[in-house]
Amino acid sequence: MQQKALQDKVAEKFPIVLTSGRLVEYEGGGDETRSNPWLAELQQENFVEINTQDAQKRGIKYWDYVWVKTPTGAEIKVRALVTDRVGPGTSFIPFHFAGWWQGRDLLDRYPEGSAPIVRGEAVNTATTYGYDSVTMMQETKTTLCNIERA
Amino acid sequence: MARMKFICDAERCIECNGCTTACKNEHEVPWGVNRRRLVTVNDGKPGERSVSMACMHCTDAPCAAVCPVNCFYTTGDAVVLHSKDLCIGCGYCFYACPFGAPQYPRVGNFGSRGKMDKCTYCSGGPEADLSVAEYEKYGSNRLAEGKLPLCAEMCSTKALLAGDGEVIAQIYKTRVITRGYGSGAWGWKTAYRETVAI
Repeated sequence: MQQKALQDKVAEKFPIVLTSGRLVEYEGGGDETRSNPWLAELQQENFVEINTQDAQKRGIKYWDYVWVKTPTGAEIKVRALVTDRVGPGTSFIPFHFAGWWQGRDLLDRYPEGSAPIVRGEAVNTATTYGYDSVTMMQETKTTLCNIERA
Repeated sequence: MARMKFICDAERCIECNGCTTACKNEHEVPWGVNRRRLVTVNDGKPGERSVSMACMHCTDAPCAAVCPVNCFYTTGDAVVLHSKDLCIGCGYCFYACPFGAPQYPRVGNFGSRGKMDKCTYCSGGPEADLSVAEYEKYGSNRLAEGKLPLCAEMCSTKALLAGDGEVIAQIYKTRVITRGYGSGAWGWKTAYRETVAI
């Protein structure tokens, strides 16, 4: 597996480490908290935190739409939060969002009245297939990606 | 009588948005109207600071000075309130306010403004205390119940303090002396024409 990844030059095609994590406003997958107007108003769109150097190389400006592409072939459309909070070669996406699928809002698929106020791309659409063979825990914190302007 | 003030200790604020959410909950504030909000400077850089901002209830309030219908008044506790029955939604106070406190609901197409809404220091408006009419227009009146504003009461790090200016200034001074550094009581010079001298 590792040999194949090296041969395919996966690390060159996808040079940015993608990690995921939490926001203070939402909880878990976010379906409940994104349905609460007082919290939803504070974080209205999903975003990727990208380092200023990486953003400059790709011509990405603050709050532009970008495509985050990963080796599985998945691509998700999120806003770019250009910041030095993440180091060069690293990016971060919160995992509290769902309801978009690869750039398309699936609002029409929700049963009437059940859609959260705020929907966005789920980061685990993009995270790759790795997992820990002992605990069977999926690898969502150190996956690879590339980021392009949408 | 007590002179009510807010103080936000930027060294303690952790940008949790508890104050904004508490305010929305207590007063049923609609989407798009923010009586209190967090402002973060140097986001993601060393020296990042956050400060929680709302109406500071200024001494000699600039909003009141520019209001063409004189809808503002200052209570005995030095809280700046306004009457939504008199307000015409002209937006002058928004331009005059150094803190961006006045907010306007969008009432129609073409972005026309509704009656101004702002932080009431949890003390309602000109209607009778704790009446239904008062709640519907201005939210709850915690001061009339002997309580302080909910944003400060719920602040998890006690960065945001509300109460008698003398008392909260003393708390802030004690903190600054104990830890050996401070953030200068942001907004006090603008709002109250004074600083917390150490």
